[in-house]
Amino acid sequence: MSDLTSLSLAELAGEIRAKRVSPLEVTDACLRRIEQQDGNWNSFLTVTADAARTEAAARTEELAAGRYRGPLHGVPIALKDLVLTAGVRTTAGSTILGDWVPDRDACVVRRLREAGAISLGKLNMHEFAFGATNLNPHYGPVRNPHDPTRMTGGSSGGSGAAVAGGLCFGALGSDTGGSIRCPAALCGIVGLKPTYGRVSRDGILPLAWSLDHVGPMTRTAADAALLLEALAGHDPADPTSARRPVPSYIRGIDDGVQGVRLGIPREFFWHPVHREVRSQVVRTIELLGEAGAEIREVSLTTLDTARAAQAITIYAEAATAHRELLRTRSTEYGPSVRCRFAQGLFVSAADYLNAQRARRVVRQELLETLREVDALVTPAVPIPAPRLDQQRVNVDGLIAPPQYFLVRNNGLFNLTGLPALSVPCGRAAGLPVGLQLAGRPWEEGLLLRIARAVEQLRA
Amino acid sequence: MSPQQIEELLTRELAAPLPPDELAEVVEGVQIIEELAAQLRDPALDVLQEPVLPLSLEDLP
Repeated sequence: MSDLTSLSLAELAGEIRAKRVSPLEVTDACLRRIEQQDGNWNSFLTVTADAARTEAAARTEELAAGRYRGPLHGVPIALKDLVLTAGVRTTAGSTILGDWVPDRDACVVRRLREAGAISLGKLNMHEFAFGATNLNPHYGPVRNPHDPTRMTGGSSGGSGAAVAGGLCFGALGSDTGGSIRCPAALCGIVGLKPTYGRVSRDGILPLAWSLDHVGPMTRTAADAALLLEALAGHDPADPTSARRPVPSYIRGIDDGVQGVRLGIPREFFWHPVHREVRSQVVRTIELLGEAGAEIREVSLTTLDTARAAQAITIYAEAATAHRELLRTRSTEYGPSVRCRFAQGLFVSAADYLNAQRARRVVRQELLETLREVDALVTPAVPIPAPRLDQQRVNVDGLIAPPQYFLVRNNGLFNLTGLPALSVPCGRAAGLPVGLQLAGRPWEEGLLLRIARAVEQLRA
Repeated sequence: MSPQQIEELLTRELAAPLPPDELAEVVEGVQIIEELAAQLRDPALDVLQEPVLPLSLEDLP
């Protein structure tokens, strides 16, 4: 990376505010890097270079005139291609929407623009966000910047690669069963799925309404805090949007973990797990303990129920969201995603409602556990990034396709709506490992504070 | 659900029939979904006593 594009978002914000770097200068640096590097990674589907330069010039003039919008002023970011953008095509990684140009922006796009951020374009993703390999049959796979023969994970794989590769300073992802945290873990960046209702989904193409979340993907926890502050807050256009005030997520982020109670679930998350992933996560937990956190084992008895309820819910809701398109244009879906949507047509109403009942049981258990501890800690993804051509992965004697492992540890927190993030914590087989933190509703700030401590302990 | 029943429903719900390999994948996937749904019908879980989850987390204490 060039010196400029290797800065964190927070560092860049300081440089822009001090007028040592202009929005136009950094936007040009990112556009050059996209041109030079993205042929290797395939993270962008659409680069809006002219619009970005126009916007950057306007933000530069504003600064010269003494108007500073805040830490996102003049910061280049990019958007997963299921976020509606007025006048810019929005494909959702499909050819069905290959030429679709929305006439309005998503709420999160408006908020980022008002905060001064500059969009560089739209990012590749798993087709319609229904999968975690990011092997897109229409636009090609996204390649992991740490090793281009490897997957990024998904479905926000373009967001993961673009941020990890220094093409932008932050990106938006969406997460229905792990689609922010999985690529964050495999690409070695921070990815935050906020509490359900914290960030508006107005103008986000849905996969599964009751599980979909939007959140930031960045190179550091502090960067995620800055992005989340701009994104969060009530939006009347999203009926599930919360009215709670938005706190400062950056304030107190360096307060450390002294006295923070961390719960390590005994069940589910630790088998199957790649040996080196396990050792990196365990070592990080030990370091958190040495830094003053109180480490406790906790028992969660409803995790198998949760996995079943998550699967039933996502399949039923996704098939419903796509029912009309399946009836008229099913031949235009990629084969694996078409099969997945088709399977969802067979979930009965009774089983769907049963899953929603189970959901309450699972959430109740998690909330009770989170009275005894402040956050849960698990491996974010049980394996390092698989090869792009890998058909099967063997972990702890369990042999299954990569998809089975990639979001196995994440869906619980979509089902329950609790905030969760992935933060880098070392390497396995030479590839990044992510630590997953999950907490009480609306306590993203605490998770970011713990993540910041992890960054310092693993630096 | 039998493979024939699955194929019949797909005929109504999809714009075109699936190729045989995809049909086989869907049949396998439907079996997995049925197994997962059966887990949620386990009386030991007592989930039938629970009301449906409200979407908002704001009502939590």
